[in-house]
Amino acid sequence: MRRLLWLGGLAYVLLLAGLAVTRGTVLALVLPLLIYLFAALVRGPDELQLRATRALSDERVSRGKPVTVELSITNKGTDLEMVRVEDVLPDQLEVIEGHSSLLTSLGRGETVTLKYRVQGDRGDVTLHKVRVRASDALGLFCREVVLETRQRLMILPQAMKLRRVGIRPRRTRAYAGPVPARQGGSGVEFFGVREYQVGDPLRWINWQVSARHPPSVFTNEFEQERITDVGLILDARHRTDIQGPDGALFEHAVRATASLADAFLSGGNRVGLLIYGGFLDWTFPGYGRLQRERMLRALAGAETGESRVFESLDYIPTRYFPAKSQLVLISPLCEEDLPTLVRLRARGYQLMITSPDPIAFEARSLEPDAAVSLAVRIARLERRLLLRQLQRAGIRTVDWQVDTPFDLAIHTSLSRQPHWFRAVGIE
Amino acid sequence: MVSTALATSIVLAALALTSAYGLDAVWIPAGAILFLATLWLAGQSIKGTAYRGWMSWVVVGLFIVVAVAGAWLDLSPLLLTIGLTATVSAWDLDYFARQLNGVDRVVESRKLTRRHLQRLLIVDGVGLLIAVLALNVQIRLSFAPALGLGLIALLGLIRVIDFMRRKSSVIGGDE
Repeated sequence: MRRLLWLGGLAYVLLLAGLAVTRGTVLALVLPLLIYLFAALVRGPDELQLRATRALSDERVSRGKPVTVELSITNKGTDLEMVRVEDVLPDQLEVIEGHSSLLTSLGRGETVTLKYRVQGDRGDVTLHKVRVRASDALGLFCREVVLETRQRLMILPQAMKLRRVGIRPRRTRAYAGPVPARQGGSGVEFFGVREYQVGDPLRWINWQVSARHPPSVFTNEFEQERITDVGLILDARHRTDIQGPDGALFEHAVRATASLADAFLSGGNRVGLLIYGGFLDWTFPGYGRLQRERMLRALAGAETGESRVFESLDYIPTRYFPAKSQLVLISPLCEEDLPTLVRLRARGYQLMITSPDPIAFEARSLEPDAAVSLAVRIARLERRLLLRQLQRAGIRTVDWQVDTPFDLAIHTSLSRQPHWFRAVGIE
Repeated sequence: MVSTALATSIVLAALALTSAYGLDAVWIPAGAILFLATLWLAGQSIKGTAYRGWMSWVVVGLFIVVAVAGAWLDLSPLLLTIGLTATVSAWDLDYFARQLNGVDRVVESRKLTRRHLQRLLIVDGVGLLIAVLALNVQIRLSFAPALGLGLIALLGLIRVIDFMRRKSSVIGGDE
C-alpha cells in the first residue's frame, strides 16, 4: 500500500464518516491529516531534469583488480528536497569501498558525486542505469527516473605465464619461430645429413660420415623452427560444465585458454579462438598483442550455452582452421566426443586436448561415503579409458586437476617420459 | 536525532490517547494503546526494515481507529487530536528513518534531518491549530447540507487524485 493513497483514503473516509454522523470532532480529527497532505503536495518535486555522467578509472582490468567508479548527478531543474540516487550495478560487481547509493537534497544547478570501488568476476559488464528517486520532504509525492549512462567494463580472465608449450604441427608458416618445422635447414636441433652443397658453412660438414663415403662430402642439417597456426577451441557447452562450491569448472577452462593463448602468441604464432557452446564465437586468427587483447576480450564475455546443434563437437567448423595446423581443445570432455576428435586427427590436424578433470572437481563438493567413492571410481575409470583411446589415436592429452597449477600440469603431461618409463607402461 | 523524535512522537501519541480514555475511565482501550506503543517502540530496535514498516502501518492504523472511536465516545477532543497528530508524525518519522537507513550514504545527514523535523513541526503545529480552532467553532448541519458537502468532497477527491497522478510519477513511498 502506498503512503499517499493510504493517508488520502483515510482522510477521506474520516471526512465522510464525520459528515455521515454529523460529528464535528471526527471532522476536526481529519484536519491534521489534510494539512499534512497539503504540505506534501505543495512541496512535491516537479519534472526531473537531471544529467548523469559516469567515469571509470579503467575500462579493462584483470579479475580481482578494483576499479574506481565516479558518478555525478547534476540537477538542471528545480530544487529537490530529498533525492535518492542509486547506481544499479550488475550482479558480477561487488562494491569493496565507498557506496553506490546515497540520499541528499539537490538544489538547482547542484551536483552530487558518488565515488566507490568495485571488483568482480570475469565478464563483459555494462554499467548503464542510474535510478534517481526524488520526493518532497515528507516523502509522499515521488518521481522516479532511470538515467542512462552506458559504460563498458571488461573484466578479463587472468592468464598465467606458461613456459614454452611444445607443439609439432605438420604444417608451419614461412616465418621463423619456436615450432619445429619437420624440415631441414638452419636451426638448433639435429635433423639429418645430406650431401654438401656450395655455400654450406664448413663447420656443418659431418666429417665422420664423409670419411666413410669418399669422395662425397656430407653436411649436417638442422630442423628449421618456424611459427605456426594454432586454433584454440574452448568448449562452452552447458553439458560439460560443472558448478562447484567455489565456482564453475568452465572458469578454469577459460583461464587455461587465456594462458595458452598468451603462450602461443608470445611464441609469435598465428592464433585464433573458437568458443563452442550455445553458438559459435570466432576470433579470427592473428598475431601479437592486439590479437591477445582480442582473445582476452572474447574470453571475458564467454559463457556456457545450450544448443541442440552444438550439443556434440560434430559441428566444429574445420574450415576456420588451416589444414594440418595445430588445434588445442580445452574441454572437460564427454564420451560422445571421442569419434569427432579421432576424425579431426585423421584429417591431419595435430590435436592437443587440455581437459580440466570434472570428476575430481565434482567429487570435492560431495559428502564422502561408500556410494560416492564407488561412483567416483567408476567415473574415473571411464575417463581414463577415454583419455587412453584419445592418446592411441595420436592426440596429446593434458588431464588437469584444477587444484594443481596449470603450468605444472601442462609440463608434466607434455614432457617426454624416459624410454624405460614407457617400456614398463608408465604414462 | 530522528530516533529520539520518533520515540517522543510515539510516547506523546500513546500518552494523549491513553489520557483521553483514562479520563473517562475506559481502561481496556487505554491499556491496549500502551501495549501497542510499547510494541512499536520495541520494534524500533529491530534492524529488519520490512518488520519495522509493517509494524508502523499496523500500529498507526489501530491508533487512528482508537482516536475515531474516542471521538464517537465523546472523549476529550483536544487529547484525541494531539494523539492523532503525534501518531501521523511518528508514522512520518518512521518512514524517514527507514529512508535514511536504506541507503549507503546520506549527504549532510544533519542538515537533511533538521530540515525534515522543522517541516514536520510546522505542519503538525498548523494542523493542530486549525483542528483546535475547528473544535471551538460549532456549525450545526442538517442532513441536506451535509450531503451537499459530501458530494463536494467526493468531487474534490476526484480532482485531487487526478492532480496527484499528474504531479507524481510514483504515488507515495515505497512501502
